[in-house]
Amino acid sequence: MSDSLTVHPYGETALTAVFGDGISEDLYRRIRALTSALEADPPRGLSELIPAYNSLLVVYDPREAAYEDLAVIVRDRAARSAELAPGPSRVARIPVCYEPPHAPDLEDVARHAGLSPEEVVSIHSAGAYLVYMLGFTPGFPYLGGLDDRIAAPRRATPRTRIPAGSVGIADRQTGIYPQASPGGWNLIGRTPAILFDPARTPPALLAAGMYIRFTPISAAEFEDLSEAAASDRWRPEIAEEDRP
Amino acid sequence: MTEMIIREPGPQTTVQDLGRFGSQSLGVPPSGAADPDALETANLLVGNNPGEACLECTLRGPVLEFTGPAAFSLCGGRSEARLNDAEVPLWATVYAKAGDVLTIGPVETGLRIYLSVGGGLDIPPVLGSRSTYARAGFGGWEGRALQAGDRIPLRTDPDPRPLPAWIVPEGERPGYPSEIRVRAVPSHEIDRFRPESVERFFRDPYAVSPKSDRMGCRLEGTPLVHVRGADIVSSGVLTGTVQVPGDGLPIVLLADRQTTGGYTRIAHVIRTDLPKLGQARPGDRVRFDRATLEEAREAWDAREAVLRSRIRPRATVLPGAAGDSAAALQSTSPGAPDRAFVGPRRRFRVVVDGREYDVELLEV
Repeated sequence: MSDSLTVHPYGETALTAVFGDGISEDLYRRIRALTSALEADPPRGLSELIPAYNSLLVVYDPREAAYEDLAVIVRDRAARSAELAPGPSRVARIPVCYEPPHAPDLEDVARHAGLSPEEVVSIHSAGAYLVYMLGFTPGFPYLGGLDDRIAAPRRATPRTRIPAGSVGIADRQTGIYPQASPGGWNLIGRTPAILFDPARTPPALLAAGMYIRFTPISAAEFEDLSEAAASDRWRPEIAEEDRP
Repeated sequence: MTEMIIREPGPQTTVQDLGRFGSQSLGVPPSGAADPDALETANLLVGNNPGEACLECTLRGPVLEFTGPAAFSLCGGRSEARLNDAEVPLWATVYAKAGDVLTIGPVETGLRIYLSVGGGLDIPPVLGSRSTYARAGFGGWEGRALQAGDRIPLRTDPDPRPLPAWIVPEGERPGYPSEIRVRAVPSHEIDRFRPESVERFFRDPYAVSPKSDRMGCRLEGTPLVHVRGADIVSSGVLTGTVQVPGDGLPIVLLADRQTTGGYTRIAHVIRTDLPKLGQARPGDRVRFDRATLEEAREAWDAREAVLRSRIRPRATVLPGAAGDSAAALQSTSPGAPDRAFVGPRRRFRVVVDGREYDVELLEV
C-alpha cells in the first residue's frame, strides 16, 4: 500500500509523508503505523512527529540529519509498517448535556436536518467517533464519523467566545472546544470533561487513535460533574473495545 | 529572593524562551520568542544559557523595580531605556542594585525588545518551556501578559562575584529596517498556485498588515491565485510556513501559530530569517527570495557563530566597586558615545583588556 506514499521536504527542518488525498480510516491506520514505528525506534535527529488526516509531518534537526537520509528511512518504515493489523481501541465516554443553556444551536441544526432536536441528540450520541488527530488548539480532537443526516454549515457570524467543553457541528465534522475561544461551529451541547490540562500527564484527555462516544446527561448532572472535574474527583471513563 | 516588581506592564509584555517543543501532536503551539536572535543574544550578554526565559516587550517596555542586585541586558528594537535617571545602553551587560527602577520606552525600530536577567526568571516550566501561551492561558507568568503589581522572582546570584561585561557594538546590531528580504524554500504544494502567482510571490513586495500578531505575520498585496482552491485537508504546519487562504493573501505563521492548518502552503521561510518577521511592524515591506534546502541549512549552520561573534568583552566590574555600575560600564566602553552623567561623584575600579583602572566619575 506504500505505492501512494510521497515524501517531500517541508522547509529545512521537516519532511512531510503524504499518504493520499482525503480522509479515511485506512489512511489513518497507515499514518498511525508509521508514527508508531518512528516513535519506537527514532531515527537520529528526529525531534517531533505531527500526524494528521492524510500526512505525517516529521520534524528534525538539520544539523543531526539530512533530508535525503530521513526520506529513505521514512519510506522504508512506511513500507514495513503498512501491514500492521488494527488492534483493540480505547474508547472515551464523554458525557454531554444537550439541554439549555448549553445547546444554543440545537434547534438550528434540527431545522436544517428536518429532524426534531431529540432525533439529532439520539443520532449524535449513537456514533463512535475516531480521533484522527489533535490540533488547532491544545487538546482539540479532529473527529471522524459524523452521521451525514446531522451535518450543518458553519454559522454565518462566528461567536466571539465559546465556553470550554462546547460540543459543536460544522459541515460534516463534530468536535469539542477544549478551551474557551472564538468559533463558528453550531453548538449542540457541552461536556463537563476537562480535555486539556498542562499540569496533567498526559496533558490531553484524548489521543489520536482513540474513539469517543457521547452520553447525554441532564443540566443538573452537568453541574455536578463540572464541580467534580474541577477538583479532579471525576474524569471520563476510558475503556478498551474490540470494534468501536 | 530578588524579584522584579512590575510597576507598569507595557501593552504586551510576556515571558518567552525558545519555545515549547514535543507537544505539537497534542495541538500545543510552540510559542517562544518572536525574535530568537535577540533573546539568545540578551541571554549570552548576562552569562545565561541562550534559551533562558526573558521578557518579550512589544511596542513599549515595562517600568519595573529590582528588589536586589541583578545583571540584565536589553536586546531588540531601538528603545530609550533608563535605570533610575541614567540612560542605559542596549545590547550590553548592565548591572542594577536593589531598588533600581528600569524604564523601557517605546520601541522605535523593530517591534520588540527582550529583557534578560542573569540567572534567569524563577518560574516553573510548563510542558518543558517557560513561554507564555496566552490563548490557552498557560506557561510564562500565570499564562498571561504581565500586569502592574506582578512580582517576578529571579534566580540571580545573591553573592555578587566579579562579573564580566559584554557588548554588541552598535554597527553590528540588527537595524530592523522597514524593508526586509527573507529567504523561503518553496512548498511541495507550490503547483497548487498559478505559475504567475508563484513568480509574483518571489518578486513583489508585500506590506505587513496591522492584523498581524504573534500567531502570524499577515501580508497585503496582489492576491495569489490558487489552481484547485485554497482549502486542503488539515495537516501539520511549522513556524515560518507561508499559508495562503482563499483571499490569496499570504500569512507567515509565527510562534503562537496553531499546529495544523487547512490552507495551501506556498513556501517556508527559512529559520534563520524568522526573527526579521518577528520584528516587522505594520506597514513594513517584505520580499521573499527563493532559497534551496541547502542554502537554508548553510544559513542555519552559520547562525550561531554569527550571533556569538558579535559579542565583545568590554570590562570586568570588580567586587567592591561602588555606585552606579550601569554608568561605569558606559564609561569603560571604548567607542561608546559620550554622555552627560547625572548623580554624585563615584569611584570605580574596572578592568579593561586585563588592565586595572581606577575611575572617578563627576557629575557634569
